[in-house]
Amino acid sequence: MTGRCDHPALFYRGWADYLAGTVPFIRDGLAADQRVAVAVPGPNLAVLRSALGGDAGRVHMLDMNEVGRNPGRIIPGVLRAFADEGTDTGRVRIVGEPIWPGRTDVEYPACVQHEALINRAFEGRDVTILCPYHAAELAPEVLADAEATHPVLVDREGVRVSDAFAPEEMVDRYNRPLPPPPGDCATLRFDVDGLAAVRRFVSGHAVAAGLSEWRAGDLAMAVNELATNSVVHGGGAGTVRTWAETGHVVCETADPGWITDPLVGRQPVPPDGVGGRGLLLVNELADLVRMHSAATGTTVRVYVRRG
Amino acid sequence: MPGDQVLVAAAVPGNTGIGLTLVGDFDLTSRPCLEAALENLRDADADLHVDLSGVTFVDVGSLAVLTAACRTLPDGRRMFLHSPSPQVRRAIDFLWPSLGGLEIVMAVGGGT
Repeated sequence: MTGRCDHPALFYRGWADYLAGTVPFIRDGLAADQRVAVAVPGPNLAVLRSALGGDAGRVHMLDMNEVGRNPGRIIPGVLRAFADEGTDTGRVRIVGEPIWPGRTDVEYPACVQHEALINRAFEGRDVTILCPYHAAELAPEVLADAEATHPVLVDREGVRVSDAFAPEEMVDRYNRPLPPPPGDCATLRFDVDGLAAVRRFVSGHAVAAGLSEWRAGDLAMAVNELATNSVVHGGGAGTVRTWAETGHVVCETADPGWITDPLVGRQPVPPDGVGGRGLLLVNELADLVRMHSAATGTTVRVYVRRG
Repeated sequence: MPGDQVLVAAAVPGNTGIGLTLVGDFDLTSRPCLEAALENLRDADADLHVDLSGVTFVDVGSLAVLTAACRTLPDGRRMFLHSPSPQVRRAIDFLWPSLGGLEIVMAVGGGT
């Protein structure tokens, strides 16, 4: 591919900055007959919609708090879903705000990995993805991370190339061991003959922890895919653990395998493609996916909201 | 007992063509059986009807086997999936959004 992916970060300190940084970007795209999408948290979406007036109807507008609650879903389910939709070959513009002050510490590493992986996922494609950061409210470390995941930075002072841009290092830096699960969590070892038992284990505990039958079924389906990966790619066996936290039911699989491609599960798979669909579905079903994969083994943790 | 699968090659009521009825859980362990059953039906030049109404679970790999069979049907032939659960239907819509030749039929014997 011969296109060019632009991925600037916009550091804003208030609504005036926000609108000055996004509205002309959106309007320039519309004026050039380019397809434009906005995926930002609900309150920001409302402000943008109002500022765009009649033009809002020509923009694909999404609440990132809904469609991007799981950062692992944003590339396949939001960005690629929109960029791949068009039949024309013109540039696509997207305002994508995956990190906002309400993001939790548990979500944050997955958010940074998402930002870092955008560069690789869209390499060679005519896409501009503008990522607003609330510089007045986010921690300095968050803004430093944004300088490392975006090649270009925009603020009141203007546009500059980021000296700190190092997306591959950021993917590695946030590929961290997950906090240990609670000592008293339910645990089950499995191999190829234990997949049905894994599904019963997961759905049983999920319903007991208050998930609906539907969401418990989603979680069982997701964990079945993870356990299948353990059997096929992760040494043939693994361990599944589940517990309840405030707000979430959590399930994890651990095995000795090593997932070396961080884009697995973040790219749509063509109809004749083999592999990668299991993790793609896991990202679609979960409210959050956290992963640590290294030579020492792989742990994937899936969170589903309670109530 | 959960985890056991039954595959029956038989006409799906109300439809002409070849029928395959799946009952039980379909996961990694049943994938070879599913592949073999579909392979046996492959040379018949007819529409393929798969009844999923008795299915209690289908994993992504089994759906990949079904959709692969759909893609290799003779020209002009289609695959009809009868009564998939909402979760199965959502997984197909999400993972194979533009698969040609696949029809979802929400009630068994609903005709074509």
